[in-house]
Amino acid sequence: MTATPETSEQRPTLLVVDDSADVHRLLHARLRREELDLISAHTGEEGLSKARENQPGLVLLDLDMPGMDGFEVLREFKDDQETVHIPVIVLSALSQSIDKVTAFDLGAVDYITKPFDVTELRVRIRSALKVHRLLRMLAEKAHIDGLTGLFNRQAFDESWAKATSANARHATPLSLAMFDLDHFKSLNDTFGHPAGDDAIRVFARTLSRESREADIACRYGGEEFVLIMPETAPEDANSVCERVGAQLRSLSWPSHPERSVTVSIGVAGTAQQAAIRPADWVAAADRALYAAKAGGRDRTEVIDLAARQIRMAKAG
Amino acid sequence: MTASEPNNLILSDFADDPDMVEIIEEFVGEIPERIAALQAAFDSDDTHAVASLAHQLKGSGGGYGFNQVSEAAGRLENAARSPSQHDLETIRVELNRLVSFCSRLAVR
Repeated sequence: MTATPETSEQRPTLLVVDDSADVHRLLHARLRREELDLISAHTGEEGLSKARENQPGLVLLDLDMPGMDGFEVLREFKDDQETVHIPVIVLSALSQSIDKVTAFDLGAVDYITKPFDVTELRVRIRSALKVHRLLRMLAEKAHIDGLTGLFNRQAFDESWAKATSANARHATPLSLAMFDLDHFKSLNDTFGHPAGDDAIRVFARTLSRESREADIACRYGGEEFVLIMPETAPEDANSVCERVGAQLRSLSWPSHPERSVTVSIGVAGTAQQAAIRPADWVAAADRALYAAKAGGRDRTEVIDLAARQIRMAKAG
Repeated sequence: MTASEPNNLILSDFADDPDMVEIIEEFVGEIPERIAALQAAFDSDDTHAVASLAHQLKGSGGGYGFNQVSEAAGRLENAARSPSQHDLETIRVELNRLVSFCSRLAVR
């Protein structure tokens, strides 16, 4: 299965960072009936490491702690890619405006003063979780293709930039496959647009199923798809693509039993560092796809970028 | 019952809350220990420790439904934070008042 956009809703974890044992005991009793799992940290340092490790949905943070205080924790939180997205509610006995303003400036989403009112605390926690669930959904939606549930073109551009920069830095293998459904226009014209949409959806599902955990499947546009295959040399990418093609070929189609759906596939990849710009890499996969179309469709063509570099070096 | 009648017990505001009963018991059970620590700090003239221990009680008392403990602890903290020597007597008065409240806390 490919990495697909995360849509499952799980019970959120709440991390409480406070040096007072009483606060932990009270919160555990008071939040027992909330849809929450509680984790406790008793120092700022412990709070940071537990946040990185457990990726809580929300943090309740005390300010006045010995050693690393809450302001410092907030600063580190927002400086760290692993924790910057986690909402933090400050829960503190400091009640002056300057403390509140500083906390919000440092990225806190809310501020509750001690001693806290239990009902108010509960609704503020619920509200922060809800807002952040919606923000996450929006961010995800902006990266999902509506028809197939795969990542969309924009998500591809971002993932591809990351994948190619990893290849450039660490020389880890990387392959890119481009897929185009064969005779799609005629399928649409003959059997109607619902049949075309159905072919696109079923192909998307096949692509997700036949690719691997770390692969990233995207709808590139229309009846075109791409699959980013990290840590994958061209010959292994070829086997993945052959499997996708064979699986699609074997399907039967209730709305047009007499006609199968096939796909042409172009792969461009390398087992080493590719001295090529990301956009040119995509163009190479496109050329391989064109070759697969020209060679009779329902097939995979592979361009090994390393071999090409060697050929170019020899020619030069 | 009111706080002014020394022989009466002080019940937590949350004594009827099933989520709270267990931790109120724990809190009340730990009170003698906390009072002993306060008394020891006062006896060794460590007003800083008195203030800090009182601060903790102020912060938690209300949470367990004992607002009178929070208030008394708050007054003790203020007295202990005052730097003047003649306030030792004030500290003693506030400490005794807090001890008297704490000795009357009851779970049910």
